Amino acid sequence: MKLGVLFSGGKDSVYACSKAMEKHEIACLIAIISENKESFMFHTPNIDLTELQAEAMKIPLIQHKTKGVKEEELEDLKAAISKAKKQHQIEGIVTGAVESVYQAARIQKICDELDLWCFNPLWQADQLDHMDELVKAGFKVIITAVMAEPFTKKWLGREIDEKSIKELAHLHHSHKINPAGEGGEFETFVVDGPIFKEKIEIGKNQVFYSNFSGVYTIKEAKLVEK
Amino acid sequence: MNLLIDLTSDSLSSLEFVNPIKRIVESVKEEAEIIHCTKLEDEGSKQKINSASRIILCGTALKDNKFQEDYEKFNWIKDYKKPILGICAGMQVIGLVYGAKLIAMKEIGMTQILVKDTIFQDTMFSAYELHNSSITLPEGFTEIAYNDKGMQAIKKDKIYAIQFHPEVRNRKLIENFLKL
Repeated sequence: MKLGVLFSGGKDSVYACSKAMEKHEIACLIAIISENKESFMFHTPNIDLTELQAEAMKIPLIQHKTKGVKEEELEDLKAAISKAKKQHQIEGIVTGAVESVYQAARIQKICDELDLWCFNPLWQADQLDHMDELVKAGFKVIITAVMAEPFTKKWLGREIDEKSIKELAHLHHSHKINPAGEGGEFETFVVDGPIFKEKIEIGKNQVFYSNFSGVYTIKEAKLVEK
Repeated sequence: MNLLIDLTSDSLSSLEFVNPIKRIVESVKEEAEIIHCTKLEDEGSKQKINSASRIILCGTALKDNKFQEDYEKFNWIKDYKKPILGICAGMQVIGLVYGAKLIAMKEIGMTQILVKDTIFQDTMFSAYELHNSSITLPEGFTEIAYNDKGMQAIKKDKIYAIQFHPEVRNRKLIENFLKL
């Protein structure tokens, strides 16, 4: 089956893509560029760099802009998926949804309206196991935004590894932080992994941090040989 | 051992509809084994069905209705005396085996379910739905939960069939089933 992956460049959509690639052909990635940083549906930090990630994975990318107005952005998502269906003859969509019934139900409805299959290979996964699996599978993931107490500035740009997973597990117990960031506590960006033909090297970056909230913006990045 | 029957026709969907159930079963220190519905007539599968202490028929993707084509291979359900739980597609399989008819009933997302009770006022809870069809009430079954669209749970002896997905936000229901 030819599938399109809803792609944010974060760990969940990249890992869902990797799981789907084991069974089907990934014909395209679909990235929604939201102008609204508080978007309920689409995460925003470094979303422009999905272009570089798609190039690294050698998969065509469809980028679609939305103003990010709640519910209206769903029409933009539908238009983007529709475009993918027309351009790449996809028969289904893959998402990185883990827990959010808000996101999952809305994407299921769009797929139903467009007569497409909808696959959520990470659905209801145990958050800590899922992070551990991701790292062990060889994905290099960095944290690009934090939005909850007690995240300090040092988390911005930090790679997710065994040590940081342990700390996230601790924060889960002490501060009820979802260890996979499903509650929007943090955002991620994938720079390398087994499905990347080239890896991303980050050059200049900009860090903004204040009061447990911050963003790591990648200003310069390039593809390098692995 | 708890036997989970995978009704999906695409193995990518198993990660979404079978693995979450397996994780819940294992999280309460119960054993779980999975067999795919295409392998039901294998000798090994028949042995597993006979030796299982409980059986769960898992759900499928919204577009995946292949399991409806040859439900006769589930006729053993009528002779199985131990607890069975059918989830969504699993409910349809149980219904078809007991002579129910498929009916169109689309629900996607969270809905409010009412549990029937003869003495107390019906209690309500939220549940995640994902289906295009449902079934008419099969003979010998009792409706035990419903919502504004129709039937949400039915029961006959040790057979339970539910329309919604308890693995999403209602894992307690599966844990309770594992105590039967």
